[in-house]
Amino acid sequence: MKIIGIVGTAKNTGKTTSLSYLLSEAYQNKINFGVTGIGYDGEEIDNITFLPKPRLFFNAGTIITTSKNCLESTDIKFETLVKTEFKTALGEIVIVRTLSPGMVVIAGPNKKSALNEVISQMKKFEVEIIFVDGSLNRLTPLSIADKLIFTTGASRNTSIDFLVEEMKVIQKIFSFPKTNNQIQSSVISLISERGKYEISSGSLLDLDDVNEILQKIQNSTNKIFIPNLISQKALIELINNLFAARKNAIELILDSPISLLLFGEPASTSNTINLIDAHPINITYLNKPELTAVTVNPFYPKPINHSFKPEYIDKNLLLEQMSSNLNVNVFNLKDSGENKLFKECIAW
Amino acid sequence: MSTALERVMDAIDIETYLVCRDANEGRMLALKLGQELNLGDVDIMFEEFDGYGIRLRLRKYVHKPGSRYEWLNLSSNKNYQQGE
Amino acid sequence: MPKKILCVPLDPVHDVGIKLIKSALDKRGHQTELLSPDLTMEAIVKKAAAGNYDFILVSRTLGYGVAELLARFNDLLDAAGIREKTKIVIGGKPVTPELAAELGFDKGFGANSSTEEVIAYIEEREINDSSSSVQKIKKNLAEPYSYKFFHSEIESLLNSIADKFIDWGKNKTSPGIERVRLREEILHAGDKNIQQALIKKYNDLSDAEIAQGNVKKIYPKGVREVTAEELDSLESFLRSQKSAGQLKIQHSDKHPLIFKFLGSGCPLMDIAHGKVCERWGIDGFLIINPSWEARYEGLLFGNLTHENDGTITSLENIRLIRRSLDPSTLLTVRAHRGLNTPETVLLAGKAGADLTKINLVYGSLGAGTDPIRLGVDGLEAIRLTATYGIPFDIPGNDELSGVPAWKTLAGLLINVMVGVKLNAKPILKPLFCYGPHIVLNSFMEKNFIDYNAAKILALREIVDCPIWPGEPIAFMTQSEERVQSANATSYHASLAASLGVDAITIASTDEAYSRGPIAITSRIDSIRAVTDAFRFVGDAGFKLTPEAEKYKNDLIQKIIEVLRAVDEKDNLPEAIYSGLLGDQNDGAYPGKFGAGTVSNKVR
Repeated sequence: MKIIGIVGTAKNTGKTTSLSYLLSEAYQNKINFGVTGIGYDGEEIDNITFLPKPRLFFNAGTIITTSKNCLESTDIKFETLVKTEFKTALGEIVIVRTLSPGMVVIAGPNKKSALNEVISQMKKFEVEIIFVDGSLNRLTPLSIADKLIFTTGASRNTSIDFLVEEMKVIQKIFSFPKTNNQIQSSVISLISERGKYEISSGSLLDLDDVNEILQKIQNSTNKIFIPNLISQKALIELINNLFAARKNAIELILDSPISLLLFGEPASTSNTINLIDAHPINITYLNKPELTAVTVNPFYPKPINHSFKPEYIDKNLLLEQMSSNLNVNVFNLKDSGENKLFKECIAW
Repeated sequence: MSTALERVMDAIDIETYLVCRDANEGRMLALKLGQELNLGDVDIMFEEFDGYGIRLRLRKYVHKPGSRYEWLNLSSNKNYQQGE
Repeated sequence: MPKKILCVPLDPVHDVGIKLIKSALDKRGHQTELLSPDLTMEAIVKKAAAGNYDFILVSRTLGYGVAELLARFNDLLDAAGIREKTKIVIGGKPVTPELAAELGFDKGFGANSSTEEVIAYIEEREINDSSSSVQKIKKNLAEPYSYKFFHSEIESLLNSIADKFIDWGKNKTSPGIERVRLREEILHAGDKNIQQALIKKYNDLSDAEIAQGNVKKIYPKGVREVTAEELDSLESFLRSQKSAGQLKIQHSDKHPLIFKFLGSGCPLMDIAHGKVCERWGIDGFLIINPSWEARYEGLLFGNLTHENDGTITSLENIRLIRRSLDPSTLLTVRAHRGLNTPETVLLAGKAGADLTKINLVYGSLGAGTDPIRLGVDGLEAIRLTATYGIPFDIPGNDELSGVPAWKTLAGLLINVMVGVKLNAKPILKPLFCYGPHIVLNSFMEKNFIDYNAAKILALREIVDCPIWPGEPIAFMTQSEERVQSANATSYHASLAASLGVDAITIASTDEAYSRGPIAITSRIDSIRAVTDAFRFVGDAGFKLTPEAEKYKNDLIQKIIEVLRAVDEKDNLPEAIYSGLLGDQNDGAYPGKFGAGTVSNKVR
């Protein structure tokens, strides 16, 4: 069983389009699968730009996790399999099996722990794949996925250079390995052969956190585990101070690549990765989804008179630049590529 | 002959009420209405969905500050009734 | 249990909302902290992680790119492990549940959310999702009133006039009254054949135009049956569309109920308008029938639609409208025009309407019915309102033809006394208008307040009876220009609120447009205008000038003079014929419909 997540770099980059291609391919290949989301997507019109959006079509017999409110507005027949304890802004999250074909809006749990729980419930229904529909540019819940498809495009930025640079940074972040260590801790841990020190916080957020690490770290410390959030500024501060007086290498164990992706802007993230590379730091992850593919979308909503209209950047240039700069497969789904994308995803 | 549209000092507002299932459908219909009326992209200035439909105030700017105001040439233009 | 709440204004400009929420939460004993709006995301996360909060409330208006920023904020909180114990809530003008879900929030509050809703969510009280909705309770307008007269001379004059009138009508009958009997029998007949025979008798007592419709389905011009398919579609429309967040027009419990007219011609359109108006806060409707109905003996049967002004008075139409409206919405059916007054009251009663509209005087002088016929029919109609327990409202619209206010008010008071004597519950409906007589005599030259107010004050000094200015308020002050029209309505509505009347009827902003039916946008326009006016005036009020008191005393004095003259006549119809309640100079003429149709009861 594999969990495949769709991550957008922004709204309107083609998450739903990517997912709907994957779903139709999965149906054609007769694969049992389930679908959930991490927020809300698949509505007819974009909530912010009011432009029409693609929706998701399901055959009968599909396992879907969504909110009660979304099921109220659908015409399909379904049986409720599990009523979960999670509530979102659109009501209680339920797991259902579709009994007739039709459109359904997916609105899944909105946090990592809830997504984890929901997926373990969905596994009981003999699914081979669980697709997780992203929401906007949200990342954190998707750290539990096995494979991630990134969707990017003009809606994120109309500069192709920007988009390529950003995806290169993302690819770099995904290139760090999974750790060989088994660590269970909810706070930052400084690990050496002799034992471990724990810091009061689970996140590395500011100077206080950095100072606490610097005070407690030993020369023998060879691993630092940061389970939660890392602020880019704090990490830079830590590296600069730590290696001012230190030569031996250290393994920096993070929850997942998403810990670094959350830095946000690609240019500064790139600088920070370079800073890491310049020091004897080995980044590893506790959870390591694979970056499977990137889909590109030339569409963007152009602001006109306080509303938006559909506009496109050069799709060929976008695809070509992205492909030649990345090691993973890049697709523009509107120009074929859907079954290649699917093969990429199920090739395990 | 000048068109009537050229004489719009700045904007055209459309106040209407569209029967729709929800606010999203209402907004989509509002934008479609602008297209159907050949106004192109209209702004949704105000919208309120009340359960039965959406109350709307749509706006299309014809002349924005900085545009060339065709109506400035009023004196050199013929009365529209006089034709070409 | 008090909650620990972190308030985060992510928007430096629009943080009033969150401050209001914070202060409301503080008053409820919760422990709140308000961050300054200039912190970085990381600093906010740090604060959130350290504080062990139950809720984080974020306020932010949306623009392009803000969605991604808010989604990232949720990601940071999730990655920092804060979401395990803390619920994240967004508030902002365009926030909908869908948007909140998309951005990853646990709950969202938008422009229509109340502070009360936010508090209920924080306190984990179960509330309806559309909880800004007000649960409406149907009000009985007549209930708090004793119908006690305070002015002894007026009381004794009215006693004498009403007694003579009731006595005059005692042994009289009309085709209208006979049809009421038949209609009751038709409704109670169990056997189909008997029913058919009764319907035949009914049609025999009706004019050919009506009988032809009921027998051969050949209807007057522009009338057709509503199809079964249309009725089905209406049902499913009403099933799928439900009022979103019921609004309230009144700002204080003391503010009047707000009525609107229905009567587009088509019951389906009336219902669509009615449902929308209900949502925007309308408390009740008056169904207005086509003017040609007044001329004919007999009413059409069935669900009928009409291309022109006025919705056809049929049991089925009234029932359909009544059933489609919210149970708390009041419905009044116009009965006093024409030759079917008592039957209309019967239908209103049977169909579950809450009120009916009868004015024995105006029905003759302004609406064309013969005074003798309306006298006889009206007495029966008022008795029927008592039988069905529905109050009747007495519109003083004769003022619009040019009748002086005191004559109109004297007429209203006669109706009240007749009603009281027949155990009915009358409601006074003086006009808030710029009527022709007022214009000619410059009563409103300085302002629109004093004279309108004087009418209310005068009536209050005479009798303890519900007062419902109409019909609609602001009549003849409105133009087709919508801002002017909305304003005129809202000013008159605030005057009504400040005078503490029980209800008002309001126009739409296209009321003055006479070449087509009322449009829904115009209805909402005036409702919104009145809602804002009520919010504005609240429990404050208008200051009358000393003129108002003079007008009031003058009105009372002249009402007495009119009543004295009426009392000198043998009966009310005779007084109407002789112009005592409005004459040719006032633009009022006794009607002719149904002249010569009143007969003495057999035995």
